[in-house]
Amino acid sequence: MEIFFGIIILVLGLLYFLYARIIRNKNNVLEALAGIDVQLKNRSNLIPNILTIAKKFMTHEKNLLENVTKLRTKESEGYDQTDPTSIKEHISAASTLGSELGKMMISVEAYPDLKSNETMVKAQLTYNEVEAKIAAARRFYNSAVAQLNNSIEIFPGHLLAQYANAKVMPFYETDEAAKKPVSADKYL
Amino acid sequence: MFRDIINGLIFIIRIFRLLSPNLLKSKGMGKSFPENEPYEAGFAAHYDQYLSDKVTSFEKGRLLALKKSRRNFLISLPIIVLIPFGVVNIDWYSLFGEYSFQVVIFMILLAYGVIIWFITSSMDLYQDSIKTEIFPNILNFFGTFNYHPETQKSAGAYEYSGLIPNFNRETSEDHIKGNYKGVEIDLFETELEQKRRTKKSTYYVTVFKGILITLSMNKKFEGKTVVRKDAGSIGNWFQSTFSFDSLKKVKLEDPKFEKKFEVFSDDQVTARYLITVTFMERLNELAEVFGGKNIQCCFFGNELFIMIPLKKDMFEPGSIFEPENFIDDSKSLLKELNLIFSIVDTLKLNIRLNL
Repeated sequence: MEIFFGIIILVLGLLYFLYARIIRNKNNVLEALAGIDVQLKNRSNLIPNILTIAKKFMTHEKNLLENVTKLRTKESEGYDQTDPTSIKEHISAASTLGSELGKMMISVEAYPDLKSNETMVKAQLTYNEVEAKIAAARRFYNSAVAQLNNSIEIFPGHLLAQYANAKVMPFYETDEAAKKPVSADKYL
Repeated sequence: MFRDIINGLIFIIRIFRLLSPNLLKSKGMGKSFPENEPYEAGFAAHYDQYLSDKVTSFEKGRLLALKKSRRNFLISLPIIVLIPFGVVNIDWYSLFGEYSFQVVIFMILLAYGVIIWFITSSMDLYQDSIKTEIFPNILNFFGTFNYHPETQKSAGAYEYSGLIPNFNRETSEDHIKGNYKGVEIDLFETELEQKRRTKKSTYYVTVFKGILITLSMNKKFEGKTVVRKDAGSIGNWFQSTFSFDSLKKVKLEDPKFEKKFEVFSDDQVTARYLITVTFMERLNELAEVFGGKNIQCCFFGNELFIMIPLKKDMFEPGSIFEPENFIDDSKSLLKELNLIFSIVDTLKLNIRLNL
């Protein structure tokens, strides 16, 4: 009888440990997601200044600039931090915006007056800094998601996940367009 | 222990070299500096301008120091030989009773200590003059570098990093400060020792010997991020669980890096902002340059603090038994400084690439 109770206590202790680990991992993901949002907000705040200067010079890139404005609005929309689909859409919007901003920054090279503009130079430096911090936040998020997903997907994690209200979360992957090689011919 | 025996033997050989018949002969003077390594490029002109005119006077000083040391050695020789006779023939027990053994040991050590000082003091003075008068002239080659043989800095100033081991005795020297490719470098050499006690005696154990470097960073950041050497799974668990500060373990992507190092930070995003994937590769590379995985560092207050353990004493003058021309001093100092600069070059601290 004592052995039976001992086993029960051991199993309950183990289940509690696994449950607590899932909760801890879930909170880590939320923390990492908040970290990404802080950096995305910094980038979002930078965009109007860049666009104001860019519009003066980049007359042939109207579509690109408009696209950046639209994507910024989309990225700034609220989302449900507990819903993987909503997070995936938010990440996708942020990633697409990042890709378009990257294209815009490369296009700047084709406009020597804009490239040498003091405000633009400062904006580019800040942009690089913010992108580096987004990359860091993304790495933290992906690391936290990997831990959470492992704890949920490995038995008996998937049984406990329901009680912890934890779901498999999407990774923050860079936009497919950003992975393609960039041709320098246009700017040489 | 083994190192102490080797050092003792080197020291005895050094003293007996004072009896060499060629000791006071001058040869190999008036040489020009041979530029054999890439980092020595341009130093020949610097040598001609700042060092070559000091060779004659320093060579005179060297010979004088050796002459004085040899004379003092010859004066001391009878005493060196007589001490063991004294130890054997005097009835120490009747003089000091049960403490006679301790008294004899103390007196032998005291007597030989005084003799060693008497013989080597003039050589040491000469070597110090190389450090104070010649080393700054060699370092001028790099522009704004300052060298001081002694330092007011203490390893205790870096205790914030959590990397400095507990120590009771510190010997610090060779303070170098300057700017390389826009990066501020501040370093000194130190040996930290911990007091240990047994039932019968107290002794000191070296817990760190090497250089402590602070470098200005190319990124602005807040908080603290520490890169420790990997202490094995149990050691790492202890470090992260019982750490006195609020640092949390940062799990990074590079398995090769994770095998060598453990990262702790109070901000997970800042840690990854500082330790990028390429920075991890560079730190691995730097660990290879310094022949091991024991490099540790801390990012704090917009600076990077690095602890590099070294067996060899750095920034020391060449042998006093070789004719003076400052070429060996210059070559060894340039080589050592190049090693320090390789930290900036390897970690690319001078470039703002965010990589």
